Amino acid sequence: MIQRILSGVLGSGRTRVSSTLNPSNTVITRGLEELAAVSATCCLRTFSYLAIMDPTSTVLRNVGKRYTGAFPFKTQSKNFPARHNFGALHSVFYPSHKHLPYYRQPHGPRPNVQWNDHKLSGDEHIMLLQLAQFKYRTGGCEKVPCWILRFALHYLSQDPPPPTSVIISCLSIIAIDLGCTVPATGLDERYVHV
Amino acid sequence: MAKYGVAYSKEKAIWTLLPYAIRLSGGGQQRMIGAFSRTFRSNTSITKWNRIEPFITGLFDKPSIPSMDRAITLVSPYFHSFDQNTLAQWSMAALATLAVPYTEEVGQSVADTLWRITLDDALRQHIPVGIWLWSSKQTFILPAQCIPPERRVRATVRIPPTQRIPPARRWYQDPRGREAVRQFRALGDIEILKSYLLLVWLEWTPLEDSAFAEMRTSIREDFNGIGMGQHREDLRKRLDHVLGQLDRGPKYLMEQRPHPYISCGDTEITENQYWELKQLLLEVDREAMEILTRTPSRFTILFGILTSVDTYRISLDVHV
Repeated sequence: MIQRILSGVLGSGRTRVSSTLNPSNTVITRGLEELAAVSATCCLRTFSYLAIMDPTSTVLRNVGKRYTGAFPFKTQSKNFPARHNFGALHSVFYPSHKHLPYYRQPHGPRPNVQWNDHKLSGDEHIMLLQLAQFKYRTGGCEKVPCWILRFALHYLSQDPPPPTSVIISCLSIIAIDLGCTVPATGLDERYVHV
Repeated sequence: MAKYGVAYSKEKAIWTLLPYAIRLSGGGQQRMIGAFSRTFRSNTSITKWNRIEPFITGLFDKPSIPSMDRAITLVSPYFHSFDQNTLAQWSMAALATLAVPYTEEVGQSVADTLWRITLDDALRQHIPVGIWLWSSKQTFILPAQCIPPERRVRATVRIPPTQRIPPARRWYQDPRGREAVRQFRALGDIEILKSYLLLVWLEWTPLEDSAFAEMRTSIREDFNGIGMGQHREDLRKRLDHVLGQLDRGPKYLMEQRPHPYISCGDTEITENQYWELKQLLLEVDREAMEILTRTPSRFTILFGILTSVDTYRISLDVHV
């Protein structure tokens, strides 16, 4: 199913690589912006659940390969609806390269997810929590990626505060990074093991 | 979390927790902000996450709320953009927090911030006297947190022992530098000057040669005379306190406060400098006493007047 959703994202998105102008513009076919946005959100949601249920799944690897094949490293999604979800997907499939030697790091500025103008909808915070757990386990350095921590910082800094469930998710993200075990299966029964 | 490496690799997660800790603090729950402060004090390698800067700045932009005084006081060591307004806001928050029984973390945070502000030539003169008076009565230890980040970064670079420069010289803008001492002298307020000396003498690293000379001059010129006896006594007590700690050796000092610059050589130089300052204070004290004893006629007259007044009072009391 996740591959079908990704096909939807890829079908609505066309990458144009030009050496003279902007090297990597993602061009969405007119009229399909909303479809691409919904597809990206669905893809992220399905990916996050699958990542928690079966982190070693070959499907995850295949999806990663297809994504990186279609969207180059420097793909920008600044003015795109659901750019945050696109940014999150991009950061999931193109992990941080800081641990690599300089000559092996991809060149050019790395697109960053900016949460400043993000408006939370539905259970996005739970997706982020699940991704934090997945990346912590599989990232190799037992760290939650910086862009997920920035999500937690953004919502914990808000005045007035966000709903309690969001605060719980943000605190859980921090707890994961600090090495605590946070079960993400039964979300209503979340608790933290120190 | 207390381990050096763990806290270092998790610094972003700890910083992310700060907004929530401050919110709890505003609601009267102080445990998390206290734990946050303690973690950072015991892990001097932790540097500030630049993403947190807007949040900390935002704290100072808001109108002052009494419930946030403690939070502002504890966070202020990590705020590096002080101007006159924010300094005034911090001073009010700090004095309000210090007015009620406070924990060690609060005292350390005020000391850290005070130290940072003394770095700024333009702000030094605006530090309220109340803060200086408070600092002069403390026997707290300045944590290594007060060392500016650039100094800490350099500490991580391995320099061969033969090429090492005394720490105070590595740091151009030293609050214990000669210029700083001169500026405090120029303020012309003996209480502030004394408080400043009491504050900077708590550092365990050697003083810069020119600053040391300026301090000696200050003791000779500003703290001489009979009327300065009490100030000299306060300064001498502080030097005794620090010398007592230095006597215990670098191992004890490192246990008390992990400091990238403390070494056997450094503590020895510092000890010698502080011992010289103490001797100078005693010398100035002796000179003041000699002046007092050299003028018997005046003293006798003064004593006679006082005695007669007292006798008169006593006699009045008896008759009444």
